[in-house]
Formats: sequence, C-alpha cells, structure tokens
Amino acid sequence: MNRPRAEFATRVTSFKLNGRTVRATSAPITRLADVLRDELGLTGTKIGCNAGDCGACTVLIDGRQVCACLTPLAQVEGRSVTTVEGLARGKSLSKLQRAFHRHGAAQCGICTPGMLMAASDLLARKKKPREPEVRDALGGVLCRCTGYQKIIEAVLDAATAGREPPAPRAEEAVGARLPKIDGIPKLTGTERFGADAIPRDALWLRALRSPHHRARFRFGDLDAFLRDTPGVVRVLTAADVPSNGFGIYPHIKDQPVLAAGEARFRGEAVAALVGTREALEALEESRFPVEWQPLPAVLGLDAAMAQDAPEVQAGKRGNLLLDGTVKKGDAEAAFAQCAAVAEGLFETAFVEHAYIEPEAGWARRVGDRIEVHVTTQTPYMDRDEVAIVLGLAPEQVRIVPSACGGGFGGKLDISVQPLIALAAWLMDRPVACIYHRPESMASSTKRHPARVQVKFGCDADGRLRAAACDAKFDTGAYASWGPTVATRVPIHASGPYAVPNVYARGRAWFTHCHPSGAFRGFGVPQGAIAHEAMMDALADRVNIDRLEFRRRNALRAGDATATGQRLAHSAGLVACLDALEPHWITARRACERFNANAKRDRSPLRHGAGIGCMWYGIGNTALSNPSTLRVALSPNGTLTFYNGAVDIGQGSNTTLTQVCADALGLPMRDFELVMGDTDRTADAGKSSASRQAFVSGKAAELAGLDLRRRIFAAAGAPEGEWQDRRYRLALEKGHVLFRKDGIAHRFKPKNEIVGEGTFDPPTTPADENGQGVPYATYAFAAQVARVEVDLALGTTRVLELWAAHDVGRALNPILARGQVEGSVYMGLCEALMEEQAFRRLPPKLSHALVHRAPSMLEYKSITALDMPEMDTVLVEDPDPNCPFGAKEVGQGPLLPVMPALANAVYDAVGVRIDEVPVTPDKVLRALEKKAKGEPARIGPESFPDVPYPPATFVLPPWEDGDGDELKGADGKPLRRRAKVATA
Amino acid sequence: MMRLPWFEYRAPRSVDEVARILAGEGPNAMLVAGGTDLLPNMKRRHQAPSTLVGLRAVEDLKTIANGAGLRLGAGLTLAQLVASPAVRAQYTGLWQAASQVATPHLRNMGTLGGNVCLDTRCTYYNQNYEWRKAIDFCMKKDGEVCWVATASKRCVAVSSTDTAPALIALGAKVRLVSAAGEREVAIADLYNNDGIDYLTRRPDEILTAVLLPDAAGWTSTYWKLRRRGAFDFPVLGVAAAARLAADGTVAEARIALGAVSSQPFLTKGGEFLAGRRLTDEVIAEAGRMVASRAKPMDNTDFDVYWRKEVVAEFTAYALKELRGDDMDAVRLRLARRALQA
Repeated sequence: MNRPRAEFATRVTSFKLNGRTVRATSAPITRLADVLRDELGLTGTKIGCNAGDCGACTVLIDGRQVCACLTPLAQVEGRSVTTVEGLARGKSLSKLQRAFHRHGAAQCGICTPGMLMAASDLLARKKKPREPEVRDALGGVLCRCTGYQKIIEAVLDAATAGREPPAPRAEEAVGARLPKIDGIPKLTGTERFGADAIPRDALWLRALRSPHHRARFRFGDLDAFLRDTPGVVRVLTAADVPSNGFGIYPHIKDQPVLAAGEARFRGEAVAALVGTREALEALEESRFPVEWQPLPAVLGLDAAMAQDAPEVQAGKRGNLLLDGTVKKGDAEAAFAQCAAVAEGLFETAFVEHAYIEPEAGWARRVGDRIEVHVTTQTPYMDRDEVAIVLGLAPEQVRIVPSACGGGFGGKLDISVQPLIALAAWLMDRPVACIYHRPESMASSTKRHPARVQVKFGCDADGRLRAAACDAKFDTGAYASWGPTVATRVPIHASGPYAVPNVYARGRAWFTHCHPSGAFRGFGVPQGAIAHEAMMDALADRVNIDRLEFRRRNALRAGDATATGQRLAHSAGLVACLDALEPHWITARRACERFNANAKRDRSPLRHGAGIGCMWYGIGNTALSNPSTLRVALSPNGTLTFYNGAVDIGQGSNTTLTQVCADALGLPMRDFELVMGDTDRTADAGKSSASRQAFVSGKAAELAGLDLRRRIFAAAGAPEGEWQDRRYRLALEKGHVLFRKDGIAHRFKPKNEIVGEGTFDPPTTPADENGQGVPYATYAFAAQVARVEVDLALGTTRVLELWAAHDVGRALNPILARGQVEGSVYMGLCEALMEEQAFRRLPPKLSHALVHRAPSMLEYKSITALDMPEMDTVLVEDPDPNCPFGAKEVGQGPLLPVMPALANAVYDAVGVRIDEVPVTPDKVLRALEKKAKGEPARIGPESFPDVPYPPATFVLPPWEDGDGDELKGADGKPLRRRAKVATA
Repeated sequence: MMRLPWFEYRAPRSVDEVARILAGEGPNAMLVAGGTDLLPNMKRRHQAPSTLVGLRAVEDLKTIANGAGLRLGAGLTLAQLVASPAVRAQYTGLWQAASQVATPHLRNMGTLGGNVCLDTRCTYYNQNYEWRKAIDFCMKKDGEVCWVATASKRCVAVSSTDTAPALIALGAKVRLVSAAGEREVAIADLYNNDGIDYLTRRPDEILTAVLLPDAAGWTSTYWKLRRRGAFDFPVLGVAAAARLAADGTVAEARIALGAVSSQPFLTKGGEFLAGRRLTDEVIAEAGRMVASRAKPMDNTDFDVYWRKEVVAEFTAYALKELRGDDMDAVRLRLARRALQA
C-alpha cells in the first residue's frame, strides 16, 4: 500500500459551507459526506448506501444537488456547499421545511434531509414547479416510508407561507390533523439516528462474514494477525461470546452471535474485529486468516423438503421448523357440496426491507452495566437478548434507542447490539458499528419466500362454503420469526370472509439463507395473493360482480372467523367495499371503453381493474404482549410521558401522546416525551405486529386516566370526581387548575404524581385445531387498482389506486394517510420489482452462490417518478376495546396491493401471474401460452407432497419448559431431554 | 469496507498540461472528471490507478461552440448539456439521452466525456471486492472465466452509455488529444466490441470534445429502456436520426443500438430506410432488421430474452416519433417523463 505523500497529510481544503468559509483538514480523497459528518460535526447529511444509489446524502454544491458520498473533498475546493443545516435561519424554519412539517412529509426522517436538499435545488430555480418537475427533481432520492405523496405535496405547497394548524386544546387531540411532535428535528438535521452521536473516542467494530452459504471454517494465527495489523486491537470469535445464541423466542435461541465452526448463510458473521475506524475501513479482508471449506448448501423450498436434504440445523429433522394448523368444520366434505370450486398455486420470493438507515449503534460499559445506543424497533427485547448473550442480569443492560430510520420488521432481530455490547464490555471502551449497505442486505432478515396452494368453494349464490390453504415458507438458516409466520398465516389464510369450513396449514423450513423474519404483514400478504385470486375466480364462475362477491362474503360484526372467534365489534370490510364501489364501477367502465377503442385502433394497450382485500390481526398471535406506559407530573408542573414504544416513523410518539393527553385532559403542548430508554421507560413491547396504536395506545389511555385520578385524589377531590369530564384541566405556573361551571380550583402538587397503564390484548391460546382467539381485534381493508398492460412489451403500469382502510379510528389522519400511502408504495414495490434472489454460477465451474442484487441500485425500489396516483379513504369502524376505537394502519394497507395488481392484470389481458414480482417477461410468456391455447398462467408448477417427519413439540417457558424439553403425544413432558444443538 | 485505494491527485488547468502528465505517467494514470463512474469502481477495486488526473479545473473542456454544427466540450456536465437550448432543439436525441442518465445528482456531477467513455458493466463485475472474490472474480477483472458466457474467449460486459448511441445516430465525431498530437474519429470508431478493451482511445489521449455536424433538416430521438424512472442504466437504448426529403421519403437515416453489446453500434436499419417512406410496414421491417442485430447477454437487469424481444417495438417507437407521430403518451409510460424537445 502506498504511503500518503507528506503534502496530503497537511493539505487544507477551503470551501463555503452554509455561507461560512470552512477549512477542512481531512485527506482530499475523503468523501464529502464523511467530512461533513465526522470532521465538521454536521450529521444532518445521512449515509444510506455510500454508492450514489439512494440520495440520502444529497447536498447542494453551487446550488445543484449532488451525492456527498460520491464527492471527494478535493472537488469542493473554493465552491459553495449547502446542507440541511443551512436551510433554517436560526430557529426560523424555511418555507419548505414548514411545508414538510404541516404536510407530514417526514415519517422516519432519514431521507428527509436528502429530499429537502433536492427540493431546494428545484425551488431556487422555480418558485412554483409543476408536479412532474417535482417528481423529476426528487427522482434521485429514495424513500421507503412515505410513497412520496406527502413529500411532493409539501414541495408543491412550499411557496405558500402556510399555517401550521393550531395546537389542539385539551381533550381534542385524538382525531386532529397534527404535525409530528418530533417532526422538527427531522427537518433541521438534528434528529439523532444510530450513526449520528458516536463518541469521538469510540473504537469501531467490523464483522467478518461468510462468503459461502454453507461452510466449515477455521481461523489461522489470530495473534499474528493482530500483531501485524496496527490499529486492530482485538479479534472476537465464538469462543468470546458467553452465551452464543439469540432468537426471537425464549425457547429458540438458535442463531449464534458469531458462528462457531460452521457458517449457515452467506453473510453470517464469523468474527468481529475491534480497532480504530481507519484501520478497520482500510483493512483488506483477504488478510484475515480464515480457511473455508464450502459444503453443499440447501437453497429453496424444494431442496429443503427433499428426502436426502442435509440438515441445516443438527437435530431439526427434515429441516422443518414449525407446523401450524387451523381446522374448522370439514373443508374436504364441504367442497363436494360446492357449486363452484377454484384452485391456485402461488409463489413469492425473499424481500429486503431496504430501510434507508443501515443498522448502526454504539455501546459503552458503565461500571457493571452495559449501555447500548442503537437503532431498533424493540428496546426491551434487545435488553433481554444482550443480557443473555453477555451472561448478565437484564437490569445490567440499558438500551437507549436512537431515532429509527426505517424498520418495517427488519430491526426487531438484534444486529450490531450483541457485538458492540460484548466488545465494549470486554474492552471497557465505547465501541461503535455501522453496517455498510451490502452487509445489511446480506445479513438482515427478509420476508419469507412462500409457496401457497389454495382451494376455495362457494354455492350457487356465491356464498363461500369451504377454504383450504397450504402454505410453505422458507425460513432461512435460523428460526427468527418463522414460528410467527407459520402460525399467523393459517389463521388469516381464508381471507377476511365468513367461511364455515376451513383447513389451513403453515409450515416453515430451514435453508442455508439469511433468516426470514418479520416484514410488514408477516406472511399474510403471501396468503392474500392467493385468496384474492380465488375470489375473482369464483365470482366469475357464478357470474357475480367481483366486488359484490366479496361484499357478500365479508366478515361482519357477529360472524365467526376461521378460528371460531366471534367478532363482537369492528369489522369494516363492507364499509371499505362500499366506499370503493363507485371507483370500481367507474374504473371498469373506463377500462371497457378504453379497451374497445384500443382494439379498434390496433393499440397494444389494455386497461384492467382489480380488487384486493385483507384483514390483519393486531398484536402477537395468541401470546401475551403487554405494554406499560407512564406519565408523570412533577412538583414544578412538568408533565413527562415515559413512552417505551419506539417510533419507527409510523408516528407513535405523536399518536400515543394524543391518546394520553385526551385521557388525562391536558393539552398536548404540555407534554415532554421520553422515548424508549429502558432505564427510564417501562416495557411497551415491540413496534411490530401493528400493535403500538392499539396496545400501547390502550396503555397510554389508561396511564392518562390513572394520572388524572391520582391528581384529583392528591388535590383532595371526592372519590370518583375525576371521572367527571366537565372538569377542564390546565397547567399554569406549576399549578393544576380544575375548572367546572365557572369555578376554578388550584392545586400545587407537593410530590411527583405518576400514572401508569398496562394493557395486554385478551387472547386465548389455540387448541389442537387452531381454534381460539388469537387477536383481540382486526383491521380490514380493500383496494382497487387500475392498470395498463402493454401487449407488445408486457409492461404493467398502475394508473390509479384507491385504498380504503378500516382503521377503527384515525388517531391522526395525516399520519394515518401517510401509513396507507407508504404501505401501498411497499406493496407496489413487491408487486412490480423487488426480489432478493440468488444467482448460482455454472456448477461445473464453481460452487458459488451469490446475491443477485446486493446494492440499492440493483435491488429495485420505486422512485418518485414511478409512483402512481393514489387516493385514500379512512373508514372508521371503532372497536370499543381499542383506545378511542383505533385499530391499526401500519401494515394492513400493504396486503391488498399485490393481489389487486395481479387481479387487474388478469382483468386487462386475461393472464394470471401467480407469483411476484409481476415482470414484463412473465406477462409476455403468459400471453404466448394463451395464444397457443395453453393455460394462460405463469407461476409455480408444483407443490411437493413430501412425507415429512412428525413435528417436534417443545415445551415453551409458559408451560414450564426450558426450551429443550420435549413433550409426548399425551402432552406431558418426556423424561429424557433431547439435545437441541445450536452450533 | 469500501475505501479508496491510495493515489496521487493532480489538478492541471489546461489540456496541454493533462497531456504532458499522461505522457509522463503512462498507463498507471487515469483521468477523472465527475468521478461518478471511476470513484465507485476504484472503491470496488476495479481500477487502481496510482495517479488520478482531475479534469475539473480545465475550463477549455467546458465550452459549447457553434460553427458548422456544434462543438461540445467533454467536460460539460450532463446537466449543462440538458440545459442547453441548442442541444435540446437541434440534437434532441442527445438531449433525451443525457436527460435520462441516472439521477439529477449524477447529471450534475457527471460529464459528457465521462458518459461517452463509461466503463462497460456486468452484474458479475459491478460488485464489491468480497462479492467478486466469492465467485473467484471474472474475466474482466482479476479472474479467468466470463460467468455470463462461460465458453466465451472475450469479455461480454455491456456498453451502458446513453449518450454514445445517440451521438452515433447523430453522426458525431470526437476529438482526441495527446502529447503526440490530435486526431478526430467518428464516434462509432471510438469503441471496440470487447468488454475489457472497449475504447480505442489510447491511455495517453484525452477526449476533449464531441463534434456534432450541422443538424439542418435532421430530427433525432433516443429511447431508453430501464426498470425505473431514475437511477438505472439502460437495458436497451435505441437512437435514431433522420433527414426527410421534400417528398416525405427518408433522405438519410441512422439507427444505433446501445446496451445490447459491449459497444454501441450503428445498425443497417438507417440504410434500409433511405429512399423509403416511413409507413407502418417499413417501420416494422426496420425494427425487425435492427432487432436481429441486438444480442443482449444476461448481464443486466431484466430477463435477457425479453430484452431482445422488445427491440423491434422500441425501434418502432423511435421511428414513429421521427415520422411525427405523437409519442408523448408512450414516452411518459416508459420514461416516466415527457422529454419533449
């Protein structure tokens, strides 16, 4: 390696930064993004990919948008650079920032600086741009949360001075269109994400990962490596990890922090190096002494299920993780009575979360405690996992969540946490780690690939009589969320419809791939693709309009679900379909007219309309998942909301405060927020399963009510008086004011008064037929998509999409719409272009099996230019068991998208694409088959019927098991303990 | 981790100075302008020059000059090209090509010369070092085998420039300057059909300008096929230019293809059109002819058979636009932008 010339070591690059001249001393080849963040301390510019593929690092140079990650420092000599920190004038936000704020254009906020800068470039040259110009200007910045809608609205509205809506008065927060209470830092670049507040004296950690899907490995002389590699101070291997296993379930800690002797997926961490950042970033990985012995890998469901497949995990015979079944009535017998029966086979692939913020965090030891600052969706679970791995008591671990730049389920499993915690613990120095993008894509969890076989039957009036579903999932090398998916899917598989006879089954298999985990929808989207295709097929068979068919069968309050649960309240699918019906009718007419003209004019274009419906059970499936929240009033009149729920962009910081405020009876502006820190907040569970609005919302409501009760009691009010909502509360100069009927009482608290609320959704465990109450409430939704298919090219374009979502109650309509738009965006990405696939090299020449798309360039996410027009209807069918009636909106709107699109393509050109993504080559191949008179379908051809071994039943902790103990057919523990190998 | 290998950076101010440095340093020196292609490649260890010669400070490379035609400095950014009214009006195909490169960011940073000399690409090559190591590298860099065509003796990495096919259709030339002298070549002759040695430019030469002939009577167009409306390289590029005679027949035409070979190239489609009227039948025949020359390899996004299947249709779009059809709706569908001249 060349030594830098002396002149470079002291070369100073002088440029204007946000109007001031700065002199940067970093080496001239240093990326501008790193100079801004690390040398100059301006962390508003974010790094999403370091490759020019995402635009998160957008800054202006001489007024024009560029990628700071691709700009060497030398290139800005003498020029003018503007970053997000330069937009505001002191405390006064720019018009553009204010527009972003009032429109709700920042959800998680990680892309917001990039979006603001790209928009600034445009607005400096064009005060009132038109929408296509805005999409153009923003086309180089990716957002995974918003679907771009509100960002574009904000830019179009930036010229308007606009007025922020007035802060809501007491008891008027729920339902108000409020900007986010944590919105401003996201707009000024002061929000702290995982990579933003790393201490200057931190060591860095870099994981070394397996290039093979399956390999045994052996280290060489690690001591020599350390000696010969200045700047690297420690190598961590499996032997250094006190308890080398983690996993979502208490009784399944099957994933090693560092692989021990055998790597089970490409990208699995086998060692971690700790040292200076410079040394670690400069290190050529080939210098690290490790020998690999690649072994035959099991890839894909067919391989996993094969009779002679090697075991991915020793002891998991047949590679089967889990088998979940729902059985109601007798589906087989019922099919025989049906007037029409339809069948289908569908396939989906791994999907990557692609959050714009890669995994990042840092840890430090404080006495006999370890403190981890990290981007995460679940601080308490992180705490428990880190404690187990390090062999500490949970109280010795503190997790401080940073702002989270996108999760979508991918930041539930631990990533950097155990490694940085271990390193910081052992070395008693702060240690930081930031994943680079290919590392994140290779090692984080994914959506489960699925093969789904379904059969649905109805009578001559179109009433569904029977549904059967068999879903097979590829769960990757470790369990992660596999059991959840395998149990959630059979419950939802018959769709949001009343079906008296159901047989549904979900099974998950291990393969030598990155683990499949949680991803917006948890398996239910895969099922939705299948049941919605069946609805169209049956509707056509019995000659009933496709929307009407669904409406006839939709679950209504009072109906029983596939698990025998009677829905007492709040089943709003009919209302959603009613809301969409005018659009459905108009869309179908428009398509018919268009197609008639197109045929006459010999145009290759065809239009079609398709419907997708869904339901989604909120909270963890049939498991306890409580939330506890606290709100405290101090003697000096400060009101603090201790909210353990992590806001991952969905807006829970704001909505939970709205709920708590209204329950308590004080206005929102009085609230201070402490979020997520496990030392200061109680356990509010994971930000997943769409549970925060419902479960933590209920807890927030109870906490607010509890504080109200205690304040009244402390003030000496008669018992029960607190329930009189005619009392209006206010905080004034440290006093609480109680006003009613023109009379005001004043009270100064002498001590801190704390209200607490805990809520655990009432569920019952499933019996041997999967019958029970797995969720306390369900959201429902329907969507209509109108598409254009080109018969000559095979391309599909979504022209318009209408989404109707039964949210129960919209706690905050701006945020709720933002979630619908963002979920639809993600659904469209999966429907049209996302696919985390592998590429196998010619076997005669190589064993290599690599990721096809290990970058944000090759893994295709929709840009601002590709997003169609969409319209959202929020349907409110409140559930009285939910806080102010609110159910969910964070995941559900994704589910109907893929089916609506596939159904629309079928409507347009008469071919079924029974797999995603729907790509042009598949459409053309299907059209060719149709022309030849063959079944006009592209999709999986087979659903192997494998004689698999009986499932292994493990006693979970709540049945007094320790995760190893097996139970026999009689349900009682076997005497002998089986060895469940983890490595 | 993607760190740049160490190199020396020189910042000359004139073309002569650049030429002297290149002559002195030999093949270990590489030119860099915007750096949007070279720097990521260096981080991935595709190229590791010991000396980088920056062109940013050479003002001579950033001019647009009239004359017989148009002379475009190779140092002009793509954004500057797009902003030029002369380019937009008279050389619309080039304007459309430049407008669709990557993203606004990369058009602000990247140059015309950089896009013309863009490294060839392949899904087995444009990956980071660890990924490439896992496949034992490839013929283009550090390895022996071409994983796209294992029996191939040459590298089939794909030409991914948008401006080059447009410039070929426009009959452009490029000026190459070195310490040994200057020469002009037709732009199609700048390229070799080889994924590794894809440029005939010598390492000591600087591409200083693109020379466009007089556009009087000509209309031109460029159609880019890619997955999204931004970021993505072409998986197919069709560039067409035509001059119509007074009777409405084609006096002269050129049709060039990009992203279906290791080089952008002129097809015989233009010759076929000469003397003919642009009827639907003629256009369809030209499309078939052009499609027969397209031999995409499986080294980009999208299914390779599909990419070949759609060439005729795409060519028809280009020719219909030259005929004067209103192709706005089709353009909007495919490019997500209007791109009207």
